[in-house]
Amino acid sequence: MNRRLIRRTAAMGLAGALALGLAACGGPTGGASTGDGRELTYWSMWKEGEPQQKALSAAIEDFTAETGIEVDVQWQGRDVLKKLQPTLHGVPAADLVDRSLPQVKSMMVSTGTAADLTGVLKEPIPGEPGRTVGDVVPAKYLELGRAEGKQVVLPYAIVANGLWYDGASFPGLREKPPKDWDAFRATLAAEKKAGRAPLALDADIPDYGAYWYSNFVVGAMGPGSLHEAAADRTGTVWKQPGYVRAAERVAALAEDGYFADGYDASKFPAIQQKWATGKAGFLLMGSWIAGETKPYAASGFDFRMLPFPTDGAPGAGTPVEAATFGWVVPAKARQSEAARRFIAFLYGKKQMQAYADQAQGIVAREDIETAPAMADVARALKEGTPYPTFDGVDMDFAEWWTKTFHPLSTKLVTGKISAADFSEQLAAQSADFWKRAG
Amino acid sequence: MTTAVPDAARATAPTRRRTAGRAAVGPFAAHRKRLYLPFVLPAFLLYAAFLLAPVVATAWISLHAWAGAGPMEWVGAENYTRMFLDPVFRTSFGNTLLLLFGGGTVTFLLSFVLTMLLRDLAGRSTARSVIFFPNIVPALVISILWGFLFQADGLLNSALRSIGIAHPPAWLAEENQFKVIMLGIIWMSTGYYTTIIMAAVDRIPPYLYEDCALAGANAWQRFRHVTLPLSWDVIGICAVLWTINAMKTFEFILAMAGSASSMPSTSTWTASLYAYTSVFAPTGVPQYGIAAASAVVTLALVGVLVVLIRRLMRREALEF
Repeated sequence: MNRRLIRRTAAMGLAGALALGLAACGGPTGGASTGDGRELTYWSMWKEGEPQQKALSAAIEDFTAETGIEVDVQWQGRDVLKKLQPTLHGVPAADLVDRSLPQVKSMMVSTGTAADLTGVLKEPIPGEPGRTVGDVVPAKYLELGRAEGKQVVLPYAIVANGLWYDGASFPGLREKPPKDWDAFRATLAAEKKAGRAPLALDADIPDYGAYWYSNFVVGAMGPGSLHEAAADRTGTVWKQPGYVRAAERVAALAEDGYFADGYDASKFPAIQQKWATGKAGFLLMGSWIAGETKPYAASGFDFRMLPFPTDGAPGAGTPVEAATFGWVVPAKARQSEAARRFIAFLYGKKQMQAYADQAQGIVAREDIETAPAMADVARALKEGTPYPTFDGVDMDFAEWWTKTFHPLSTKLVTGKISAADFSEQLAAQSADFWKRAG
Repeated sequence: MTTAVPDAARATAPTRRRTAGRAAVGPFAAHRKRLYLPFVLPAFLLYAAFLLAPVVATAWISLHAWAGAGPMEWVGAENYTRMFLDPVFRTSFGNTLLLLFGGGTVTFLLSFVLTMLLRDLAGRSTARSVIFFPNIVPALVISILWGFLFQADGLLNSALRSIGIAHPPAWLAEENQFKVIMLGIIWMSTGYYTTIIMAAVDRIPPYLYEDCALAGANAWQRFRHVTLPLSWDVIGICAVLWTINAMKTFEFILAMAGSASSMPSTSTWTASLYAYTSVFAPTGVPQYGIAAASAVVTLALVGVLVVLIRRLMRREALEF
């Protein structure tokens, strides 16, 4: 065989590889032209067969019938933004998507590819003369979709976190909720004394374990307090009395054996299933839990939610951890005009009611009737102060959250370290993290 | 009979061919030379586009800060320094090495024992199918079942309780989780490597074992002096395959310790999971640079290990 030939082929291959490699890193950057407004492509976070998908599918039919605008919809599922991301800098593959703020912030806001939808608030709602989108969506929900001063997510559905329980097991709790954590702890102690597990938690999901510390911090010091500590690059804020006390609250639950047996050594959703079948009292979880556990919940399970009791938080309303699903338009979307019309159409009362009925959830209009399982959530959101899940820490300091906070928080909630050690280590490791991250 | 073929003798063969090729000037050889490029080029281009290019691109990306779209910022070796300083990377890398060497030792020991036991067993083809079975079932399915088997109220603990152990171990507690994962991977892999090694052992002429029996050799001596030397090449290949598979271990952990919207706890990460979570964590700006750096380190380690294994296991080829 000819050596020169081999060498030449190899060199050619390498050159080709380099060129292709570099091409793969670049990608098109050309701007998008404006479309004709007669069609739009919508990539959904829902999957075929989910109640939300059925609701939106019906709404799309109505929209096309009324406006003549064709909607090419693809039910992509929760990874929708990951799939869309490679096209965001060229011609986006979709003119409209839906997702929650943490994902939009990570994938789109960080790369400047999410459009500001503040203008949509002025759009009139078809069939409701004189009312605009901004008139019907409460400001506190809009706040859950804002980043860097822009309305990047326009909420259409809300989920809220709280302590879920079976109304039949705790009669009277709804009418006379505990005024603060200490009062609620008495309920838990009584449960424990009666030989029942007061709390359920699948601690193998780090976020579920983290709900506890997060809620105690915000419950004691108000929304923004967890974020403030996480933003402190010296880590010293974690050692302040309020934060240490929140850690002590969590550690006490683990120490006193308040969580259902096996919570620290099971595979999700084992403990959640225990709760749904009446083997544990309360589950700190988002409002999707009613739909998620319904298929296997004990018959007659009356889904009720108690907002996480305050632990001295300043301000009037109880802080309620919440997140939204909302509309997102890529900055370079070709059919952004049609997308905006579609969004305005979906805020119509008839459409929102149909969605709430089908999805059995809370929508971003307060004048909509909610399903019985969502009654407490609606009330908590109305009377309380919604704040982003984990105070927005998981989206703004995601790497720190996963690598520094999660391991320590799981140890705390499973009783492997004391509150003092947790606070010490969190402070030291956070300082280290920020030193590395620069 | 076995005959040793010296390395030198093997080395001469290609040399001779090469000399012949260079000297040839006949029309056939010239024609063959002309056809070399048209035949090799398509395959080479495909190889370059789908294998070499991504590798080069990965190395290139590892020197940048990049969110997966938009501008790339040159950071030089910073991704690598940051990664090596990251305690989570060190844990992930430690787990990878533990699986590679610890898991590898156990897997190969078990495979040898099974090979020796199955060699003389009646109905061994059935037995072989049975032990190969875990390898056919997708790792995802096994890892999910594995989770149910080992959890606090799982099958194993129920069985332990029924025989009177009141407090069975917390298998899936954070500190034990990776060990259980390793057990699962070993269980899945043992059948695979046993099957390959058995195929090699089957080729060993039975009269060698008869010889051993006459000489009064015990099982260990049979293994040490007949089985091992005569299946050495295949074991070498198995070692390389194990190294590559162990370094790539990913989906088993993701399915067993994670859930639809959540990553497994950091104590169970391997280098591959570290790379994956750097980009595909549920939230956070994707860090393609760090993920690529982790992939490059893995690739480099696999390369070094494979070369080392090939060197260490090089023996004179035995013909029998």
